[in-house]
Amino acid sequence: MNEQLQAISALDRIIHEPGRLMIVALLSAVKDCDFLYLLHETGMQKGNLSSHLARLEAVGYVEIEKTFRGKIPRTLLRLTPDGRTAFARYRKSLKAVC
Amino acid sequence: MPSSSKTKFSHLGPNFAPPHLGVFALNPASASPKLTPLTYSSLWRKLVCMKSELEELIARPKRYDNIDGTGEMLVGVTLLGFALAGWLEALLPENSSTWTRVAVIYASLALAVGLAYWVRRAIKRHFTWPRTGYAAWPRHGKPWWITSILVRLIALIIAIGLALLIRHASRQHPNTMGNLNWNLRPETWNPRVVLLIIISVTAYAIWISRKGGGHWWKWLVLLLMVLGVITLAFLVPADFGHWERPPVLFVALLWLGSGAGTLYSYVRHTKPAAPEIA
Repeated sequence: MNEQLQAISALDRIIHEPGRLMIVALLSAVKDCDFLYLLHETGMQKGNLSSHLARLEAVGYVEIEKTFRGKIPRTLLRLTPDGRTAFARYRKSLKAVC
Repeated sequence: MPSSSKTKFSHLGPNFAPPHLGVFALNPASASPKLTPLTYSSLWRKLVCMKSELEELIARPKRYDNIDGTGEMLVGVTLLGFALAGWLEALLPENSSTWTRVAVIYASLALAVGLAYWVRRAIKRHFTWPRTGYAAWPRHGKPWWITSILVRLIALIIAIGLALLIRHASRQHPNTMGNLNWNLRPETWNPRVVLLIIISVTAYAIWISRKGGGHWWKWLVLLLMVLGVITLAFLVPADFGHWERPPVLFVALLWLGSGAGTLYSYVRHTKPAAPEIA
């Protein structure tokens, strides 16, 4: 049981939060996507999603790029190499727990 | 443990401890009781052992690719290319060289794949991205030109294979290239058509179970595919030269129809999102 507790404490708390976990898991499967895609797939509110993304960007897991398609603004999101490594490590830790 | 908690969690068994008493609880979904840790930030029901949920989340973008039915349309248009190749090849003079046949089949396949790619891209650009968002898939380090060359090479190999098969069939059955009659005796059924039925039905069944998107009517399309190709097995006799033409055309139209149905349902149930604020 002690080992299990140690494994739990080793989980990355930034990724472990359910909302952020959903975002990182979805981003890990794509090269990049826009804000609308994440909004649709996670079912979160815009503000909630923005705040989670800001947190992930602050730790360097997510890269946010503001672009335009024609005259329409678009926010492109992708997982950074650090983010991918952190997520791979998180999945490994989770396997050790369960 | 407070008495109210006892009553509230009694259905989970005597070994269950509510989350405020510790970080572990029994997993009620498990067949054999196993202690599973709870997350700190979630509701008491939410367990940290979310491996399967996580895998499901990671697999979701793959299903999203066919949310608008473009995956089915891609298969349908490619199969139409095969059907077109068969019909165009039949228009060639009988003494045409194998390389002419290869060129005709290759051109049909290239046209179909190009058209399928263009249609898919147009649907994504005008319907999917403004409604439910844009997502690009990772290339896993492969440059785009390698994929492009691979597709062309595969099409060329298929074209050469088909041309050789058709030449072989034409030599074996020179007088039975356009004679379709009811063929009710099982001993005269064309085994290749029966094989094609099994492959196409299995492929569509796997597709709808994985990427069907919960559309119940796709099972009806599957039933129609089974009935249609069985009817074609009755029609195409064992000595029919161009045995592949009717079933391929039928299966291609069904895939296209299924994709069009998915697109219609998608457009009906979604609306373009408000543009982002710059």
